[in-house]
This record gives sequence, C-alpha cells and structure tokens, in this order.
Amino acid sequence: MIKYSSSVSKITSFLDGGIPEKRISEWGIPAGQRGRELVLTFLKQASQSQKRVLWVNGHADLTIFPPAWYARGIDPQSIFFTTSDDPMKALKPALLRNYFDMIVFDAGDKQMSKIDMAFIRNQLQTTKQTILVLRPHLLSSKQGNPFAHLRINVNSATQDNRLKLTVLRGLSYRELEIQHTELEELSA
Amino acid sequence: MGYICLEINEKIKEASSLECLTPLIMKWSDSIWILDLKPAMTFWLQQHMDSEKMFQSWQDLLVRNFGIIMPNQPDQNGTPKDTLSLSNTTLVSPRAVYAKNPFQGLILLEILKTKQSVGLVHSQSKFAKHFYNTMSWNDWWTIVNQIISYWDSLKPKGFRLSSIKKYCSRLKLAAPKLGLISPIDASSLTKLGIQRRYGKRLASLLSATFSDSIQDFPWQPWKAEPKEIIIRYLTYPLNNWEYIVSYLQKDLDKFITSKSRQLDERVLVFSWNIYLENKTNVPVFVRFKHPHALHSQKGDQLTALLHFKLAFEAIQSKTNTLNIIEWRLCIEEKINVPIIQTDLWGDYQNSDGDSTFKHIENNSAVKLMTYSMQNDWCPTSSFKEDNNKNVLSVTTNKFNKSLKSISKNRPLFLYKRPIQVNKLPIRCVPLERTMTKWWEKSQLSTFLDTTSYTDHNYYRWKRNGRWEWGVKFPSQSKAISYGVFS
Repeated sequence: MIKYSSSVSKITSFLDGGIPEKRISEWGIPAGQRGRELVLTFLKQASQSQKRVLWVNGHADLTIFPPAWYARGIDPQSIFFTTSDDPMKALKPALLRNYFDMIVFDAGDKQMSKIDMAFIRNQLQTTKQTILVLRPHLLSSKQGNPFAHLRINVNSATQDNRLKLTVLRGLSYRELEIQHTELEELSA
Repeated sequence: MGYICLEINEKIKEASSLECLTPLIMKWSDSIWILDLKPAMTFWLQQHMDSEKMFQSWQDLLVRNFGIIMPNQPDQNGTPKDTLSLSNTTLVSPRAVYAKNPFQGLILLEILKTKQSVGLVHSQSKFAKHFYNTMSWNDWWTIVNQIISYWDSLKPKGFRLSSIKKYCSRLKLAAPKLGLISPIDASSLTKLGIQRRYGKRLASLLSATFSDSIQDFPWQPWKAEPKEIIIRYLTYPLNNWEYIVSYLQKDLDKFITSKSRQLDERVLVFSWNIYLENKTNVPVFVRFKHPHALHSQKGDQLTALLHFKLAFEAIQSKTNTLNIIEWRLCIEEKINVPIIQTDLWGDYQNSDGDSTFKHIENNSAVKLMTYSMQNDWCPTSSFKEDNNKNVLSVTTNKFNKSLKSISKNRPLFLYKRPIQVNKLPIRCVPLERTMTKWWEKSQLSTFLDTTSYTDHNYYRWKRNGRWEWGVKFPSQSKAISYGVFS
C-alpha cells in the first residue's frame, strides 16, 4: 500500500511508512494539546510533492493563523483553507471530484457522523483522495469505526513537552512518545 | 487594483466587446474609455498565474477586439523585416494604458497621443515612466479640465465651480514663480500645503499624479446594452425555497434563450429584487466567486441556484416573514470571455483555465482560501488572503527570517474574538514582546484601554487543559487570550 510519509522519520517508521493513501484515517486529538502539529508533518510532505491539500476547519470560534503554519514548514499559499460547520453539505463538489489529493477535516464535536464517513468511503473509489478526520477528543477502541483504515490517538503525555501516539486500528497496538522539539525537524 | 484607459477612434462594431476585460466601464469621451479591472482581477490572475502573461493576454484581447492596422516598420536598409510576409501590414492593439489610477492613465494616454505611440503600455514600464516624467503642465491641465467639467455635471458634495476655477488660475500663476516646470516637480510639495493654498480637490489631483489612489474621481458607469429584466409575478405568496427554486430556474434559463445573449458571456453579479406581501422591497445581490457561464448549465442551473439559495437563506435569517409575491431579476455585472477555437473542425472551448477548481469553488457554499505572508511585526497584520489561488504555482512568500523564527512560538489557530481571562494562569511561559499598533483601533479596545500599552507581552499558558497564547497586562491583572495551540 502506498503511504504518505511524515517529515519526521521517527513518526514515519512508527507508522510503518506513514498514513495510507486513498483511505480514511481518523485521529483523536484533544484541542490545545499541540497534537495537530504532528499532522502538519504529513501535510508538509504532501504539499512538497505537489499534492493539492484542503484543510477544513470545523471550529466556528477559531481561524487559521498562517504565520505559525509557515514557521512550521508549511506554506499557507500552497494549501487551501476553509471553515465550515457542515462540511459534507458545503463542500460536496470537492468530495465528488478528484481535484484535491488530501482533505483534512478538523472536525468539531458533532461533525462527520458515521453516515458521512460511509459516503466519503464510497466516493474514495472514484476520487482516490486521502482523507484525514481529526476529532477534538480521544478515540475509544470500544466504539470502532469500520470506515477508517487507521485510527490513532494523539495527546500530551505526562510531561507537558511530549506527545503520546497510540495506534488503535490499522496497525498492531503500539505507543510512541515524542518531544515537541523533535517535531521541529519539520520546519528545518 | 488597476485601470485600462483605452482610445478607440473607429466606431465600435459590438458595444459588448468592451466588456471583454471587466464589467465596469466608463465612457470618458467619444474616443476614450476607462475600464476598471477590480471586479475581474482575481479571474485574470487565476487564468494566467503570472502578471506578465496576464498583461500579454489583455493585449491579445485588445488586438482581437479593437486592433488597428499598421504598416510594417521597414529596417535600416528600407526593406520590410518579414520578407516572406504576404502582407506588409500588422494588426496592433489600439493606444491603451494600464495604470493604478485612472487619472495617471489618462495623462499617460494624452502623452502617448502626442508621441503617436500605439499599443498597450504598462504605466510602471521603463518606457512609460520615461514619457510620464516628460509630462507638461499642458498635458496635466487638459485632463484636469476634463475632470472639472465632469464634477460640474455631477455636482458632488462641496463642489463649487467658481472656487475651483479660482484655485486653478492661482496655481497656473504660481507654478512658474515656484519653479515648477512640470507637475512632476510638485512631488516634493506636501498635500496639506497645496490643500491650504489651492483647495482640497486640486490637492487631491496633484497627489494622484504620483500616488496609486485617487479620491473623488467622477466615475460614471456605462453599459453596453440596456439591462434585460425578467419579472416574475407569483399567483400566491411563496416563502419556501422548494417552491421558489423551480420558478427561479425557469427565469435563469430565460436569460440563455434571449437572442441578445452571447455564448462567451460570464455572469459576475445578479441583482434579485424581491417584493414581499407587506409591500416592502428587498434588493439582493448574488455574486459568483468566478465568472459563471449560464449556458453551461441549461436546464438545471445548479451553480446559480446554489448562490440564490444562500442569498435567500441569508434574508430568511434576518426577516421573520418572507412571503414573496414578485421578483425582478437582472444581470448586474458580466464579462465576455472570448471563445477559443481549438481545432479545425470547429470545436470550441471556453478559455476558462482550471475549470475543475472553478467548478468546485463556484458550487461550494464556503470560500476556499490561501494566504500569503506579509513582513509586518504585528501578528495580526503579518498575513493576508491570497487572490492568486494556484497551489501548484511557484510560491513567492517572502517572510523575513526573524519573523519566521518568532512565529514558531505562535499558535496554529486564533480565536475569532479574543477572550478575556480574568483569573491569571499560575504558570505562564514568556514568548515575545512586540510593539502594538497603538494608533489603530483594535479589538482589544472593548476589554481595556489599549492606548496606554505600546508593547504587548505574549505568553503561553494552560487553561482548561488547553495551551493558549495571549497577552498579559500585569498592571490591570488581566490577560487576553488570542489563540490556541492546535
């Protein structure tokens, strides 16, 4: 299977090569714990290889702060951003056509239901897009998601300057702790 | 954004051909037209991704629509350059100037007229700058007098012909005494000083000679043809989109079937005048993100209907009862993008560039954005929305190294409205001290008197399990949270 690698080699090898292309990956990233910076390592690689990326911000109270993205190695001129509280309705044309190679849904609490995921999964056969769904809470292994090929939790470890990755689905159960300073590899 | 001042001496065959670049046109005189490129600039930028190519395509369009036949220039030996050419004439663009403001464009056009130069000229080119610097008071006064006569007919607020004539004669007398050989010499004078002696309007014109903007330009829109209005009288009041949509689709299709419509027409703005049962009138402007071809969706009009639906929902959220009894629909702004013949068999293709992206953006209820960086120390002014949306283009972001390194400690997301934190977090990590733009009114002024703070101390703190980024004001024991770390 072809995979999107991360700009941080430690994460790429932890995920056995990266996140699967043309599949749905579900990420549990509680807000404010700096977990999204880890997702940016994949976006950086994708945009550098001339892939079209769309970031859908599902949080109505937040906006993108482009200089911070730029400082982390992602040129906000090379990625599309949009804000929508109902992305399935508002962005249907983007999901029906294979223009974007990767779409990241930074979903709010009640967004991206299982029906939505089923619809996207069906579309992937024709659009061949890579979909990342970021949840604002940790994922539970008790409540599975059959449509996601890979499920990962990212939260701050006991020490504030570390992030903990836990794979729930797609690969064998595994954990990794990574320092924020190691993520800065991506902006180099 | 930019204007093109165009001189066409022959009679225009099709008036709508003037709308090939923009829907905003002004007829300045019998032979001079001013085209305001602002509404269609994003479209042109996205078509070509490069200002040089964009300029070249404008030139091609002007040649195609209003080209003038000129004899080939003989070389030094007296023989034509292209000896294999069957004809010894070439089709060139009419005399035209692209400038940041229409006043500069008109002056430059006047100068080029005296030099008998033809073709489209960019006001920032070396060639144009050289001619612009040779401008005489006569050239300047010719255009100023034309503007004054427009002001006289329009009668803007505070305008008095007698006083401006008095100021004009005063400036004409003073210029040689002050050693101002040409208007270019007046660039060293301050606007306030000129305003005190020669009035606000002359000062504004003199400053527009050197700056990119102009105030109170007597713009008068011109339309190629009278607007076609489609009126719908409903037999009973409607307030449900499900019922409105079928009538609206039929009305939109009527625009296509109309004989006067052309295949190369792209709509930018619809005006939808709604009349309610309570005898009130709600004017609505429906704007497309990209110029939209109604012909391409004959029978369903999905794109246009999506935009009308969004506009309808916006009115519905403001008005309690929306019982529509009648509406009037007309195309407010449009451009005529030329059709390009792609093969010998007559297959035509509209030069719409990256059509998939335009289809996605025009059919999405939300706007897709990219951003470019600005070298500004103030965090909220250090970026802007980018109009040239092409993710695969070579990026041109220039962000200086120190700003980039500071931004590493800034969060990925900002709060739409800063949050006041009354209970200061115990552990705050200092990040940066930045001078504020205290002379500008900020959002913070709702929380505290910002004029007393010329510096902002940014910190990172953890509140409700989230790492936040904000400003601490020790003297007021307050903090303002600006953003959140991913």
